[in-house]
Amino acid sequence: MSTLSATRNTTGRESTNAPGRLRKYVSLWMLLPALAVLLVLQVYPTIYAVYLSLTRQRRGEFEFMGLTNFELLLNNSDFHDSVWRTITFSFWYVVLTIGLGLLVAILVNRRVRFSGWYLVVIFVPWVLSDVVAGTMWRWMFLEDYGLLQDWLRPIFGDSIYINPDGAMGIVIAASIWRAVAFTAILFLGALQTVPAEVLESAALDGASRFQSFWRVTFPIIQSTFLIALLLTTIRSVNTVGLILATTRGGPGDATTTMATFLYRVSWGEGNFARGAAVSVVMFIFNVALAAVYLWIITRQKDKQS
Amino acid sequence: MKRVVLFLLALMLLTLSVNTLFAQDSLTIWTKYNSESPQNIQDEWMAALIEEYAADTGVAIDNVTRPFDTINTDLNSAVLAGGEIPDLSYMDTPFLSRYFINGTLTDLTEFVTNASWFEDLSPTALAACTAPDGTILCVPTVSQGTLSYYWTAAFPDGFDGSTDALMGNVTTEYRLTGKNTEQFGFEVFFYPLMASYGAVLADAEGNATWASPESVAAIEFLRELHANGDIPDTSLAAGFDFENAFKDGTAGMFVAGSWSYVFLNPLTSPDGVEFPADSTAVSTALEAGALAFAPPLHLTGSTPVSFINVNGWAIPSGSANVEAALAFIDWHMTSARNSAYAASYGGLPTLVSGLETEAFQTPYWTGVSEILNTYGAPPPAFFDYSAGATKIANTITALLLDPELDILTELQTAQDEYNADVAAQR
Repeated sequence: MSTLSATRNTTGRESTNAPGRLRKYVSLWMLLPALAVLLVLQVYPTIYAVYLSLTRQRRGEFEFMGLTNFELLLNNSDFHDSVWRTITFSFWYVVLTIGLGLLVAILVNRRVRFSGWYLVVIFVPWVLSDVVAGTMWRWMFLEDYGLLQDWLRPIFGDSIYINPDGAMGIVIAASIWRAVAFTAILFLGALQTVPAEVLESAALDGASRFQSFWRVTFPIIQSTFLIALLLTTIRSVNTVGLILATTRGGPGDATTTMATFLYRVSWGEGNFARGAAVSVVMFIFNVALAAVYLWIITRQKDKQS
Repeated sequence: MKRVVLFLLALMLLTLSVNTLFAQDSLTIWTKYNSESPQNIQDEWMAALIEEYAADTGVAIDNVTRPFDTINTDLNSAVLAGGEIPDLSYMDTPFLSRYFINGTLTDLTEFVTNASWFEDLSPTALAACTAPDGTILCVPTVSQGTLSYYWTAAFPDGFDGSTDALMGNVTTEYRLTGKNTEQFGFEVFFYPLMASYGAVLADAEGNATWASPESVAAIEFLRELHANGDIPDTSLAAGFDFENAFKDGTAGMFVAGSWSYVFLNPLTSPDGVEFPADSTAVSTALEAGALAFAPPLHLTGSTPVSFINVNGWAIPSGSANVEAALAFIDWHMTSARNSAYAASYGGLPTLVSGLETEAFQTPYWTGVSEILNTYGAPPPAFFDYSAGATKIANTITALLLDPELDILTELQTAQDEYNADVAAQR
């Protein structure tokens, strides 16, 4: 009460002195740098990309041309194919990255011997650059001296790398190999928050390992699971560096996803307005996915509360 | 507070004046060459040029190395985005259409036509730097072209670059190797072969005219090569691993460019003779009679076509140092310097007198000049060159990968899409 009265004047209104105002908005002030960075590096480029997507380049100018770029994209078989390839790539990437990441986290969480070393080994691909990783995977599948090509020849035959499905498989495998460490670390962090007593109680009540995981552990780590799902999905849609380094979107355009198509149109062909239109489509894709996940997360929280 | 503002203003003015002072003594250029850490003779040439220019003029060149496959789009985007641009840049003329559409290069018509070396400039090279509206947007420096290298031991009956000779008696595992994917594959392999079959790939307006019986015949021949295992699978892969089959003597013929000798080493002939691990490998093998060259791969009985790529110097729009850039071009365009650049780069000099210099009197260059001058043809005049070249390259690669696809239908679809696309850009 004494504190409250000290900040009020005789008319009962809040004090208008400067230090008080500063204190009141202190959280806002502290957020300002982050907001400024977001505005400059995220919001402005996004708005500018939308503007560019409605134009065409003409002698140093960007001329407004409405939705023509989008109309051309909708009628472009290369773009259609890239959308389907993105869906294929993303599906396998998300399913396997999440699945393997969870599996690795569960195994490491059991505190088996050398689990720290296992984590380090799993984490190495994560710290490699896309170019190094991509070149390595390409070399491993080359017909002449590729080690994995040699091993897998009895199952998949010659030249996996130049088979369109084989090339997509290589790109997916390389991407998962790189990304599993990230999801494993996320899940490991979440698993370590599960109280041991709860698991012990479940075991005493006769729950099997699967039941214990599914009915006790999973509900506790569900938020992390959804966040990992969201981040992995967005990453899968936006993957470009590793694909370029491994196959350059080829052979032909067999591994050209939306992101690599965007790279090709903008940086290979220099058509930035068309590239911006592709980026707007990808942005809508990503926002839609994020909205679905956030809706699920919010619904889960509502249920829990 | 006022003092702080005044101090900052003074600091800004000082920075600007220092920049202006230094601008007169320096020149920033973008090239594909690594003068800081030379890896081949192109890089070494660049490093020597920087030293020579500094000694002659006192101007320091700041050479920014850009990736060979994105230097043109990097320059376009830097100008359009209002970013940091060089005073002068290397450019490839097949991208001239994109530079013209974007308006990202300075008009050099007046400078070029009044230059002392103008009369000595090859008309073909100058045409490659001339935009559709007649303005000259670059100064041509080197003219590269495609041809065939082959191991003499691989073709006991000889090889003249024709399809019949290729399909004749060959002693190596693969008949040939060359890039069969991406824009580069279109330029060095698909286009010369298709043109020799009589295919005309662009009309006068820059529209695609890919769907023709001639194109179909050329692609059917390529399909046959792949089906027979006459060409290594690395020809369809990213990167330059396809070169290995010729370097180790397992492929008899190599779909080459006049520049290939820079990178094609070390070499081992099919009969096991090893040649040096530097840029002299090709000329050494040539002098030993182990390697020879022929016109580009072509349909027997037709005229071969060599894809000519001219590159040059260009000044981006908004360059802060135009006078220094022009002075450099003027300094560089002498017979001796032009031919030194061309010999290092792997092409012919664009100054006609440059061909008479000593560097171009070797067996390699006299042979290459003859092929390029006899069979050279500019790239197809697609309105949006890179988009067109990439689209047809991907279509052909898809046709090679899937023999079930109907060639004419696929070419027609790609052609229609490309033409609709450029119609919106006109």
